[in-house]
Amino acid sequence: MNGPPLLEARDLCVRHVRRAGWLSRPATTEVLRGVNLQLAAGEKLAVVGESGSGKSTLVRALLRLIRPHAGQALIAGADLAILTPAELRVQRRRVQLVFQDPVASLNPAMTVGQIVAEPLRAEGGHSVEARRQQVLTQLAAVGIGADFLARRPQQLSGGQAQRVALARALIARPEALICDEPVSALDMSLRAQVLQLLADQCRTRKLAMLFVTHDLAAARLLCDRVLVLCRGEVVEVATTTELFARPRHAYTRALLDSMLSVDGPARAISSSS
Amino acid sequence: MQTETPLLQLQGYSLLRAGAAPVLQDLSFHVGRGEILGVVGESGSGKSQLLLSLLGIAMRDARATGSCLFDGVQLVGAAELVYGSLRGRRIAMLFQDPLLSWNPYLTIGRQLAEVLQVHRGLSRRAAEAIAAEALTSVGLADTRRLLHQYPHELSGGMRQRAMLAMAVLAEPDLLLADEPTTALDATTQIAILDLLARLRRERGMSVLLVTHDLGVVARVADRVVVMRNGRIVEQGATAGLLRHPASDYARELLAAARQIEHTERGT
Repeated sequence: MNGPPLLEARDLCVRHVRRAGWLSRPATTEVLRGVNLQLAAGEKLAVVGESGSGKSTLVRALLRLIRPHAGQALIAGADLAILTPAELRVQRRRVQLVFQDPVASLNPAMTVGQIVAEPLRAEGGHSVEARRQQVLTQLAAVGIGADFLARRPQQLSGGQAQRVALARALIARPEALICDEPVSALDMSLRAQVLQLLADQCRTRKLAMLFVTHDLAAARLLCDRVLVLCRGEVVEVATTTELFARPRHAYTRALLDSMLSVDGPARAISSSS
Repeated sequence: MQTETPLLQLQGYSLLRAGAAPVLQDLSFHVGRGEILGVVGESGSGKSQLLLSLLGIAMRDARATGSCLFDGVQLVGAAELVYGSLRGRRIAMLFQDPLLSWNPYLTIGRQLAEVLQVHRGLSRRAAEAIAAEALTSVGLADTRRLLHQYPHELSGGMRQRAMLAMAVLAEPDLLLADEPTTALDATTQIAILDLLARLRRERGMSVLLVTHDLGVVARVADRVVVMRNGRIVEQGATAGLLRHPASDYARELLAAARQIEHTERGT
């Protein structure tokens, strides 16, 4: 073992309080129930589950963007709950996020160049020229040319925007990426490319990745281990090979059974014309 | 089952806009009676515009040319009155986002009943009884309670099931479905697709299913039309097209899908 995991959740519980109706008492929903998770340096872990399973809440709680009502979220062994705001910022910088909707996650008022340079500006201590060089290098790494610097998010296709979002995440030199459904808003032909790009970047930079998805095929393509989340509970954690070969939980099996394939079982043609 | 003429037949159908590239160009295909036709294409291929133009609600400045026969009725250049008599009654639409398609202020029951009041002239009381039945037929339980709930109180899958119940309430001959399962979870997606196939089988309803996902097509469609930039690239029976695509574009789409599906790790 070499030190604590990069990202860790210990018995993490999150509750949402809501009013079910005008006169009823506020009801609490347990969104995460005692979730345990460890992401080691350089490891790629998939978090799969359906909508409402708590995937996105887990991401937010891991970075303490929301406050859990019980349990701990740790980055490299540091409990985020007891850090000062300044320390928290430093820890969070080690982990960068890539969101589902690439266009919505980029500031429409900024150019591609400004967007990608923003983490360096926030960090401070880089000259304009140094920033520009860095931006160009990172954009090139994700396959975006210098001619895109002056464009704005709305002038990008979904695939290009997601590459820019990735460049922005990478320029902060993170140790881990958290990707929340990074390809589900993209066309099929682009998905494979962007997933490949993610895999390549993780390998060359020795990045860890938490890959949040409802798409088991994508999880299999990218990740070493899979954690299955169902109604806020972890129902199964296994290596990717093990999970696909021998799913243990009924919910995992249901997920596997619902994977569609272009080479799916041939159906009888019952056309009438 | 009637077999003489297809339910929907497009011949050289185009959708043009002044001063812009054609939205749809020279489309020729048909949807047989009781058939599920998959229309596959990526964003910008014009597949959603195709559905909207079939309902007569395409972009305001767009003009359709060519021929589009629905059960023998020419829709190109047809008066709004003609569309009005078909829309919702003989041609129904199922949209991608089940939440956006509902009126948030009205209960599920009220909205289902409205369809029957408008299209079949039923009283509200009679309509609600049938609405409850319709909800049961799409696999929803506890329908009495459901009728009094608002759209936001339902899960995404329940909303899309209820939307499907509403779409088929007027017993349409043709259901236009625009990415009906894209916003749904994998397990819900399968359930909705199988439900579509069942409704087709039980009622002989035709379905024009628009999707970007070849896996969806493989699951339910009898035949496939592949579109790109407003044109048809290729069409044919599903099994044949998926196994032996003739066009480069269809081959690319399949390769992309297979790359994600089949990559073995650790090699």
